[in-house]
Amino acid sequence: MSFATEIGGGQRKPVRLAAFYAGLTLFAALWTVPLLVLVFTALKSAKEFAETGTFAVPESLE
Amino acid sequence: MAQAANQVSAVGRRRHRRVGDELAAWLFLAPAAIVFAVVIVYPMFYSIYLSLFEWDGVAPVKQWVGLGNYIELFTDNRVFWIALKNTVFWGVLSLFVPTGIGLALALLLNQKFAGSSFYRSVFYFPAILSMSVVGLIWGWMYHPTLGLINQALDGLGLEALKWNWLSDPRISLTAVFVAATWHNVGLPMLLFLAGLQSIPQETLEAARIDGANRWQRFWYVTLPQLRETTMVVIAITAINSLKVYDIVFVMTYGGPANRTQVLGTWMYFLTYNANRVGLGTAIAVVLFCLTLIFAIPYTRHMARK
Repeated sequence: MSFATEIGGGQRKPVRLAAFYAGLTLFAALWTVPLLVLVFTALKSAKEFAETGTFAVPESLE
Repeated sequence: MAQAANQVSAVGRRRHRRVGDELAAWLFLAPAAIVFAVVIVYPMFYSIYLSLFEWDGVAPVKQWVGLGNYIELFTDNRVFWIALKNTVFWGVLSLFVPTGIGLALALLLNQKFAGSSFYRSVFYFPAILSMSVVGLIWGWMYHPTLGLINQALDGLGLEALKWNWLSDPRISLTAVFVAATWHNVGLPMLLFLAGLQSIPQETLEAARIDGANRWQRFWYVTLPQLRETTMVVIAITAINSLKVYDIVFVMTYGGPANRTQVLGTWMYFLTYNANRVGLGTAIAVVLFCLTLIFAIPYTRHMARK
């Protein structure tokens, strides 16, 4: 049995729901940026990192 | 006469059984109690003992100085005051920032919607990383030229907001705190979510029927029923914030110019870098006393429950 409430108090309004998802997804995306940095840092050498920036795809996976 | 003898014998048997039960309880408790005494209690008292000596950690003879280390700390050790101030700053902010974000996320994610479990996992994920890893990740992000944050500010045309995040004394501690917050939000969020799910829906429904708006329902219905959870969260957060060490060590090493020292790091530097074991353990004792301020009420509360 769940005690959670529904968004919009039971009657979901599409615009409100879309805004809710957009906001939450944006925040979640920002929240995961450090994890992406961790992955990208692990896949590139310091030199490549300096030359191509954080989010460029690594040239090779050696 | 025989009846009286029987009664005496029954009382004796009961007493004998009670003593036996108590003995068995102590025997079962003994292994854990011995480990606790050796691993926790003995080092604690040994630290207090060491704090009364001047010792480099190697010499066979320790020089008795009594309360000299404490006097030196409080009157002649400028960095100790910086570390104490930073620890208090860290503790106070920790009570509001990660706890507040955790509560807000819990309220948001307690609603019924598709994908709620996914979002809960996303926001909880940083909490499973070690603080050292978090420090390394954010250390990269704060890099003045290669770091994501300054690159993003550049990209957005906000060059004026660029900082040397970890080497500018005005911002370094706050920058480290932001990194720690990213890690520390998960646990309060989880605890508040559990608390929210134990609130009877009928009370919120009744408040809604009575005309309470969303804010009033939160302030007058939800929050009072989260009192227990809030107490637990605050106690855990306060105790953890006093123990802060690893993320500062990894990200700034206490610098620049000792401006991000906290009691944990300063204790380490005095003990292992300066070989002032007595002075270092004196900080440990001060830290222990500060922790007791939160630990005693919390433990008493939990024991009473």
